[in-house]
Amino acid sequence: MKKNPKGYVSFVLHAHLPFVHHPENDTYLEEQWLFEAISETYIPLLLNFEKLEKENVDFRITMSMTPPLLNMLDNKLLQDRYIKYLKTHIELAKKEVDRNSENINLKNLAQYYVDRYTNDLHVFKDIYKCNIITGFKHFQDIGVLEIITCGATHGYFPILYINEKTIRAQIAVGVQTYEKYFGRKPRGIWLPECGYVPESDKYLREFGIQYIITETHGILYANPIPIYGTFAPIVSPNGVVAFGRDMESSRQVWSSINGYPGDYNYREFYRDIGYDAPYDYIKPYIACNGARVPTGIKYYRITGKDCPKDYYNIQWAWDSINKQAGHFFDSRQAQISEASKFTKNPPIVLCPYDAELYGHWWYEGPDWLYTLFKKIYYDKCDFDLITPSEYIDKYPQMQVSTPCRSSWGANGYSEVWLNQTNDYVHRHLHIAGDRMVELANLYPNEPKDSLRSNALNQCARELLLAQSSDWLFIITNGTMVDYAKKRIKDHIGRFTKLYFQIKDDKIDSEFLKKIENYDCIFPEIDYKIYK
Amino acid sequence: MPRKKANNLENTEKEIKKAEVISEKTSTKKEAKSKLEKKTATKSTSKKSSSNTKKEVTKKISTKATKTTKKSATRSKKSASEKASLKKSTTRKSKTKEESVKDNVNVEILEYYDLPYRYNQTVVKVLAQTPTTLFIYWDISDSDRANFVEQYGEEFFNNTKPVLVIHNNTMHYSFEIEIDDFANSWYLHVNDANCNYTVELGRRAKYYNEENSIDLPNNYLYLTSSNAIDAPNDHVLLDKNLKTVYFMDTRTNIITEEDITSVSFFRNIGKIYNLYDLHSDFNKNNWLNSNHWQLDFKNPSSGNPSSTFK
Repeated sequence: MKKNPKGYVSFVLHAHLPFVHHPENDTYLEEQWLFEAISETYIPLLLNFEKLEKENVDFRITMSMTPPLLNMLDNKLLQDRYIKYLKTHIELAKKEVDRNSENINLKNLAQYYVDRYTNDLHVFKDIYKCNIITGFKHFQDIGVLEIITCGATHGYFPILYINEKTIRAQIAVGVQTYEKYFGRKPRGIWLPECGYVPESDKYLREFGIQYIITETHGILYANPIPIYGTFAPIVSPNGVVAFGRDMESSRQVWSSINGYPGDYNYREFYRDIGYDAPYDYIKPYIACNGARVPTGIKYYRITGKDCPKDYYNIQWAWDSINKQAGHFFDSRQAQISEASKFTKNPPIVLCPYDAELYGHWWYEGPDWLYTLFKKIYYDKCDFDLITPSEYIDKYPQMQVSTPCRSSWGANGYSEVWLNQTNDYVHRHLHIAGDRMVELANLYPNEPKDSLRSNALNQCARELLLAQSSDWLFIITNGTMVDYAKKRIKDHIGRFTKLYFQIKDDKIDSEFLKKIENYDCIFPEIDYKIYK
Repeated sequence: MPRKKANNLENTEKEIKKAEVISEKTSTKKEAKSKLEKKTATKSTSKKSSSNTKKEVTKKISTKATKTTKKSATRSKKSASEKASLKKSTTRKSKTKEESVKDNVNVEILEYYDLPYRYNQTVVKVLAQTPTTLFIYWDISDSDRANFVEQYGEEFFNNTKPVLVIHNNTMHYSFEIEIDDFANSWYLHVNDANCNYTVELGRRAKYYNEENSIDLPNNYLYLTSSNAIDAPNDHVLLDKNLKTVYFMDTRTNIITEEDITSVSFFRNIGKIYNLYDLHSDFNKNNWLNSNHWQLDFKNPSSGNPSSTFK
């Protein structure tokens, strides 16, 4: 690491997918969210970290890996289904090589996909033995990656906290899951949707969490005014450190108008052979009800606005990656040298993003990170990469101020998760939360593995799954709404059924066994956290 | 002023219809519930009240349904047709469900859930949607309803209207808004962000000094109170009188005091954040002199439609 840098840049990637697991049948398209994310984001990130490690490039990055994601990555059925997904894609890509034998551009691109999916299969099966969590753990253990945790099922605190026990459980299970997979305690947490309420501070401290990430105004609107803005963390009166998102860098990457991912040389997301190929030919590879859906094989670049799409060219994409990594590098250099004139400690520029932006949506994103990190390591510059933990250790003095209640959703507060489309859900979540606390206090000491304690644990799982902010988000967003609504009904329904069975002392063990198999998240959960 | 969202009506109606479907079939649950009620009430009155409340509920549902459809019919054709189709679909659903239940007596348990129409609790809860918009939902339990009727007469619900009393506990003022017996939730604009609020559910007499008047002290009956909620802050808390700030050493927890002569960071924020829109904000509003500077939330986030996973 550099000696006495003028400031720091800290990348935080939030890796999260809702728990989707359907042993009952394999026709749920929603399971593919995971497979696409593994192929397009998680494996590419691992491969780029590995490249940097081999080239002896010292770098720092922080990732939150949420408990549902960890549970899915560790799930045997989903691992097997991912292998099947890869084999189908290799088969399709090979067919594409034949189908496009007359067109050298398309043929080469098809061959690129054959190679890429084949390599994914090799990396997944042979290197990581089907469990890529170990890959991320490796980079944490060698000190270049800091992994932080998240709420158990990404439950949105600003709405759940009217029953504080439910956010305590979200935090407790998040920390327990982290310890199970990474063998140590997490120092930081990604608050689901960056939803912050000061009421969560005491529980964060109780479970050893040192820092959180907030949206920009979580810091700028804090009380009293933070005199260094988002360029320095603040600490709440209860001792929770908060880092705020930097506005400038996030706009550079995200902007839908001139953000990096919109470069004309980058791969076009919306053109996919799932839509373009002849129907009878592509039918075995799209939705089983015959609906055309994306396959992941895409041949075109963004090219421009309102013009015919040109073929994707990997070399041209690399040119843009290099150009934009340079732009980001220069922008941070200028930003930090200006900001450092006003701050006591070297300023920190925190850049949090959805991990799935990198690779899934912005196909070249992981390569861009690799290029940028290498540039920061080799080129002359005044700043360095850092993780939030390292920053706290280096500069433990920070201003005392209470962060503002906020989220990173549209307009900065709770509108995404509470509006006319989804407000009917909240009373059910609140009641189920109250009932869970009631059950835990009614049966405070059930012996482990007894039927009742198993039922109580399953109640906790159903409640947590119902609380995922994802369902509310999907309803607001208007895509896959039926699935999200069904998930809320199923988890509230299963919870309520079990609740009455437990209270009437009539637990249906067949029913319990069945839903334990479906909703198998958190095998070690202990309902007593709700006491 | 209260802003009632049109959807509320439709939602409640949908839920009522669902409730009808459910009540037809899940008689077992009802029994269980009435059992619970019986436990709490005394034996002699319980039978009476439970049968009464059942009647009342079904009556209400039917009147509600007709009233709301009338209203919506005059409002727009489209919504009326939507509702008609909704009706169809729910009846169809119920049929197929009944059939399948018959057919699969010995087959694996079929799972099908609907959210409970209501939980039969007297409750009011408040959430903050934005710094100045509260979301409030409520319900009155059947047994409370029956008690009011017993105490104030059969016409109690006709002669009173539901109200919410909003208490701003930070600035110490309260105001009352009239709500609607057909709604079970409400979005409410409040003027002051960054304040603590509680909401009280009550009923106010509709008629004063008339033959229909109800004998309530101050013409008001308190039902229940909500949780307290803190509406978020919505601007930079610029304080020109701020002379000292506190710093904590997170290793030792030792707090030190520091004098600040000027908030140099905020004076230079326009220079530091190299953003065109921020620059123009600062120049236009001369923000240092305004004490209500707000950020422009163009920050993309998980709320960004580009996030195609979700």
